[in-house]
Amino acid sequence: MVPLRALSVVPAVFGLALMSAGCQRAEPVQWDSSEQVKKLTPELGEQVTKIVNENAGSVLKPKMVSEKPVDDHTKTVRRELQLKHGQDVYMKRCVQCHGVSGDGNGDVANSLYPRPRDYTKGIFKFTSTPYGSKPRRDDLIATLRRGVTGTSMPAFRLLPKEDIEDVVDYVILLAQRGELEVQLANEAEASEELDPDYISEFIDDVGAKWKDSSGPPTQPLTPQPELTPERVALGREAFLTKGCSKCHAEDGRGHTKDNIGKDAWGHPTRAADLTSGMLRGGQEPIDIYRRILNGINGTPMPGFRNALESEPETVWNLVSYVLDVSNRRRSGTKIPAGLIKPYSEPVPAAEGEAAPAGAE
Amino acid sequence: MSLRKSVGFLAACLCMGGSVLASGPADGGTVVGKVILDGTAPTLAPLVKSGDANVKDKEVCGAADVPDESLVVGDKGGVANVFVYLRRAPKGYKAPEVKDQLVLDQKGCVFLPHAAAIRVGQTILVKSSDAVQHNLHTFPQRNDPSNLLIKASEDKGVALKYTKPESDPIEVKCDIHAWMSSYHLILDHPFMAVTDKDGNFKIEGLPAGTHEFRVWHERAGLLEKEYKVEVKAGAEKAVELKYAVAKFPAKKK
Repeated sequence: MVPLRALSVVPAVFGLALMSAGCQRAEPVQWDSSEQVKKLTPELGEQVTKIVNENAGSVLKPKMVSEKPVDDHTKTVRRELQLKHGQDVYMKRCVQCHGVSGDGNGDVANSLYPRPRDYTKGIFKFTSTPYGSKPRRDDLIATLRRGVTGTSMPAFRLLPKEDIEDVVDYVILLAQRGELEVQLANEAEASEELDPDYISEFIDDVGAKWKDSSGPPTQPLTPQPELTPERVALGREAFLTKGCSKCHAEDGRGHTKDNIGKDAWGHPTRAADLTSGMLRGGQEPIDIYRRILNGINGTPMPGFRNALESEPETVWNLVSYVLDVSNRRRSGTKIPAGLIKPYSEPVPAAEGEAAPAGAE
Repeated sequence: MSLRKSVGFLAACLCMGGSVLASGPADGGTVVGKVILDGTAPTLAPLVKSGDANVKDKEVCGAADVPDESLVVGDKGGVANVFVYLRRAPKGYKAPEVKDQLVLDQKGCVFLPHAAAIRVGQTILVKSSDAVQHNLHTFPQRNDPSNLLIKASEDKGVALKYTKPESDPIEVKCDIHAWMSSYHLILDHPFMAVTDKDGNFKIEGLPAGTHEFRVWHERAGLLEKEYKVEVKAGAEKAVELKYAVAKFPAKKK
């Protein structure tokens, strides 16, 4: 089994490197350094890249930052082959949008709205873990199988299990590599040096953050009840009084004039129009429940755990209401067009210049 | 504390003597200072005018003017909310455990305090005196971001903790009321201060030696990267930091 996979993996990598160049020697495919690293002094940039490469390997020999070498040749080789297989799947099916290094800058990224996820910040939105935590490995598998409704991310549910498992590991590898690079670049920016005494902290951080990715998901505070019309009515009341309507508006459409924020990737973002019927993180009651309890990473959507812990049934009522609202169009309700502003405001010409004192 | 750590700690005590490990103001040196604005402070319009009918949650947020705290200048040109701190503790220094809780409040759609110096592991209780919901959204570099919905009139307080030190202050916002902004500096040592309303600050218990302070303000960013101050054990050193008003440009929206 192992030697056979080795045979199929190695030529594929060489094939990639040579694909577009015919007989000429092509530039080998490489992970790109982030813009932040490119802005550092060449010397610091090189140091960052060196540490990143020591811990995340290279395209030819990728490594998981969080995995320490084990003294078992068979295991080591098997793991290498898994990651290379994950890379093969990635380079065949994901790279067009997510880019070689997972920075969301693939060839077609500019034509997509919303843009493909940039993994290099280590942030994933649709998780079953508390705000600020890494996703579980199973969350990424679920996203891959389900796709992301309302975006260009398709469902890959027909891929063999092995492909999905391995490509998810490769995505985690890219995320860890990206995050280590961000942390080192931040440190280099702040200190104008990389003191070897502190570097291991950053490497350990990345490992520690991903440690729980095989842990349990957020469990509901109470078991799921039957989602009855009475709960929909109670849910509507909670929606208006517990804070949801502040951003999603009273009708759940989010069409309010000041519903605009920025996400962790710097893109303008709005509270979801729940009437669209496209809940990106999944349409199951438990998916919505977790979105409410944990919030959505990298976005203004907060976690309501502290606010609703003392009244756990309210969370299920809200789930009932959100499901009801998001199914209205499907059940034939006509929803009038609402107030909507363009996503990007025209940039004023004077931006970047200091306003004269006293004129603010 | 593990055995290995305690042995290491003991060894550090023996080889470095008391002064490095001193944590009380009696043994260590003190830096007192004032941050001063050179020039005329701009008059800042309130972020929300009292009685504004178009503002979100106008009953609470529009009840009184919401001041623009991005540049607060007090007595004799003293600049408030300036962070003065060591980027990292001197090597070998062992920070005392932090026991004090810090209470953050939200009142009239304003974060109180506007600028806070916080220790790694310190318990922060987030309360709200407002009858509307807020969300407390942190934008750290090293810590895991938090985004907590704070319910109306939260009087018990929601616990918030930072587990890693940050290089410089980070922004903490409320997305529901987009003008609400504040700053937290999180360090794993006590050598940090925020200037008071008149620009004064005091940092105590510093080990003797020359220290490089960073000075940071939300409009100016880093005003100093390595402001050198020589500290003698048991002595107080006074410094005055003066910056031109042009260093404090209005923030980009």
